[in-house]
Amino acid sequence: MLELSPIISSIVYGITTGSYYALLALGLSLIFGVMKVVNLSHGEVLMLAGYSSFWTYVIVGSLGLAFLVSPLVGLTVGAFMYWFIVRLVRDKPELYSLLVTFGVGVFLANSMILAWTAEYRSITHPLMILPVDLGIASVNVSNVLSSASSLVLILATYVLIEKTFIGRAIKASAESREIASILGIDVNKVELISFIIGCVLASVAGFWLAVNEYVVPTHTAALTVKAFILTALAGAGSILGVIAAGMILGVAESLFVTFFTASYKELVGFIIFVLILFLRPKGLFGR
Amino acid sequence: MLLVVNDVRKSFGGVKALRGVSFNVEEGEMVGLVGPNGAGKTTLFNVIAGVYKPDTGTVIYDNKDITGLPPHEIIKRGISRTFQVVRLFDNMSVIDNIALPLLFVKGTSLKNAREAALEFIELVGLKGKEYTPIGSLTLQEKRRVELARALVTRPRLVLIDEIAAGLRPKELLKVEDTIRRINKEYMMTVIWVEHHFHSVAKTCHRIIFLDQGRIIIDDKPEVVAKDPRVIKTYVGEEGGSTSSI
Amino acid sequence: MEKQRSLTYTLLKPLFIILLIIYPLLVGLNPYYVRVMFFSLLLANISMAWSILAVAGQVSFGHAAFFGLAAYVTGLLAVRLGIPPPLSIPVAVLFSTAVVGGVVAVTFRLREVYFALAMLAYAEILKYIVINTPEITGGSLGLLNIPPLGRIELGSEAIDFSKYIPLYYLFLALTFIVAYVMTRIMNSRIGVALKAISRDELAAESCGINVFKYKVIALIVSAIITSSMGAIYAHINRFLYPEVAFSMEWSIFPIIASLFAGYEISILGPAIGAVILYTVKEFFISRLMERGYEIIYGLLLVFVLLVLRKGVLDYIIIKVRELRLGKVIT
Repeated sequence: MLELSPIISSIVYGITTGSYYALLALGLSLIFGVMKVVNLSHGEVLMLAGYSSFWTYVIVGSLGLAFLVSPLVGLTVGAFMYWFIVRLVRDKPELYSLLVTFGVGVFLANSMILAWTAEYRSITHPLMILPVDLGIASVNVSNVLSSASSLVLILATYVLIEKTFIGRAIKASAESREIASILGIDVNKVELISFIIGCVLASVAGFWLAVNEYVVPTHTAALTVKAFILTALAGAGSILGVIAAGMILGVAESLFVTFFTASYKELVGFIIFVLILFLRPKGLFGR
Repeated sequence: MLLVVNDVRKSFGGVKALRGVSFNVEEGEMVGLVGPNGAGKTTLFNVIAGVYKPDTGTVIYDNKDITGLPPHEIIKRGISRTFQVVRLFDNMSVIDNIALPLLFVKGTSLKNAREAALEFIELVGLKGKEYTPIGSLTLQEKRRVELARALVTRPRLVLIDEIAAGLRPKELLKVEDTIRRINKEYMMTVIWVEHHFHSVAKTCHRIIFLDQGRIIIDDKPEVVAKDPRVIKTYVGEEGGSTSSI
Repeated sequence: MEKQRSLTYTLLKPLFIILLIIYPLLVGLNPYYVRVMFFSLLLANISMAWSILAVAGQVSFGHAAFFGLAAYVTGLLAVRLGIPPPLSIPVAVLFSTAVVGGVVAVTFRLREVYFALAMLAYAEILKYIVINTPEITGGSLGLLNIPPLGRIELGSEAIDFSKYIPLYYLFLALTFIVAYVMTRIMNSRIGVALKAISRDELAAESCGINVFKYKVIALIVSAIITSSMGAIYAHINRFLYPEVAFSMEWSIFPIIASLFAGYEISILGPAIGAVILYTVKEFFISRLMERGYEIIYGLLLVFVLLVLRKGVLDYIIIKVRELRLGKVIT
């Protein structure tokens, strides 16, 4: 008889990781969708923020402060990157931004290796590893908090995009920059805001990664790749799709680790990606 | 009948760009295609040129069905086109841009293709600029390169898409003259999309007026100019009427 | 479309050729140094191969798929079936080109980033398959005892290609051949088509270019060269590990070398870039930094793309042309 319990806790754990995958992918989706800019350094932004939180925690000792630091880092890095890099590549073909941000990513990842070595770092706070009994499974406080806060942020982004003026401006710019500026929208500001939001979402994901797992500069590329796989899976323009895609990936990876092996779990994403490419190129929820 | 377009429809998502367009073009004719922005003129060109496949309807050229053939096939059969937004290869010189189609449509050698291109460089008035890099040309000059490129394979039918936008009257006259020569001297059938109603009315045998994906009127220039629906569109656009033909 | 009438290249080419030919003597026949140059030539070929596909508008982040698959096929044919390298290598190249190439061609229409990632996915999936079929491939423990390239008998003497000096010159000759062929291709109608495609696919189609056909041609050339490199590598190295054969290094380094040097003006740029970058890295940089030296690659890339807007060699060539002709060229 199949043991249900490991499957269920596997799924639950998968939902946790899925929630910050979704956060990461949503950030990327915003940048990719609005500016048609391919940001291959998205994973590095996440990791930078995660490291910032880690060092804040180690130096100051406050988890709350560490949590606040991550979006701040995202905001700063995002603004910098937009001003110095993205602004110069956004009118060019996507291929160009792909290659430039790839270079930026290599630079950032290796900077982190040089600065902080390739050791695994993790934020371990006693409160976070307290178990929470959900009836069917037992998880950590950190799992619950990360899922909850990710969901809240995703919902907040959804509200922002769909219900506010800024959101409508963002959508208009995504449709067509020319028409948006004719309508009086300051496209530069809209793009800056979109990019920053994208980076902030990635940064919070970075914090939760540091708490739930670990931060290490050699894993940035895998995360960026996953984020892109999720945007392909979700299809263009669907926030719900990103959440679903994140969950699917998170759970699939988790089950894979439970039943096979912990190494090569990156493969899960790749296989899902290739399947989607050949079976449903528009993504699961694409318009 | 060189070209027969029959009930062509094309939608993009919810937007119906062409709602059943039908018309014929005889060999040797010069047809003007006019209409407000978004009427579907460029979409129609894209369907004929093979960039889009129509949802329904057919395009018959020289008694053969060419509907849905890809662009590289279309040009091999003798239909060439220019683009509304200039699409040149900026990693090549002017003469190489113009000569290029000959390499692939007629299999000409590079040397011979460049020689053949010279004639058309002169036709569009770019003599002396053969080896100028594309990046240093003005927009007008680039348009002329694109026109020459569309002519170099000596097509039977040329689709010209808004080549005269933003021109001063003197330059406009030169463009009209060039297109007239293309039609009369080179004996190419021409369909010319243009916003300058006067230019089109002066040079074309016939004008097709397209609006919201439908042909409103297809007749001689004098007749079209007096049509109330056409006048409504052009009054206010050029600050005048169509009566100065 | 003009033939490579570039002063810079006319000077650089013979210089490089001579340097490469006398290189083993320059380094006193030191095996380590010769091996370093051997690897840079390996990467030079892959860089040219990557570039021709990039000119066709398809940027791949997974060329390791061709490399590793061909390496394993020839290794397996030789080790398991006893097929000699002169036969197993071509078979491996054909197989790798057909299988990976076939899958890739189907995904040509993907958006750039998804195509790049799909290529990466193929490489990783192939790596995983190799790791998980240890009965056949040896898995993570590796495929060992791959026979060397063999020898050619010349009367009473023999050129033994398992010795590093003959091997070096064999490979150098091969590289020269590849470079020559690539240059001829890029100067031909195919090259013209690819250059047009790299700028504007729609305009190229409208000029009579069957874009898909030419992309496939570029893919086949790219695949054959990269696969050949992988197959040769198997017989030089004598053993294969999946992590190494499908390593991202084979995918990423050619990209960096090609962008650094620039592939627009000449297909030889990537080859020169690869040799320069690899030798500099091996001889100088990795002495100084263990890890993280790749930070320089990142900086180079951003500098080349944002500031110069073209590869370093392309930039130099254009500046030299401007000086000679006395006017500004784009």
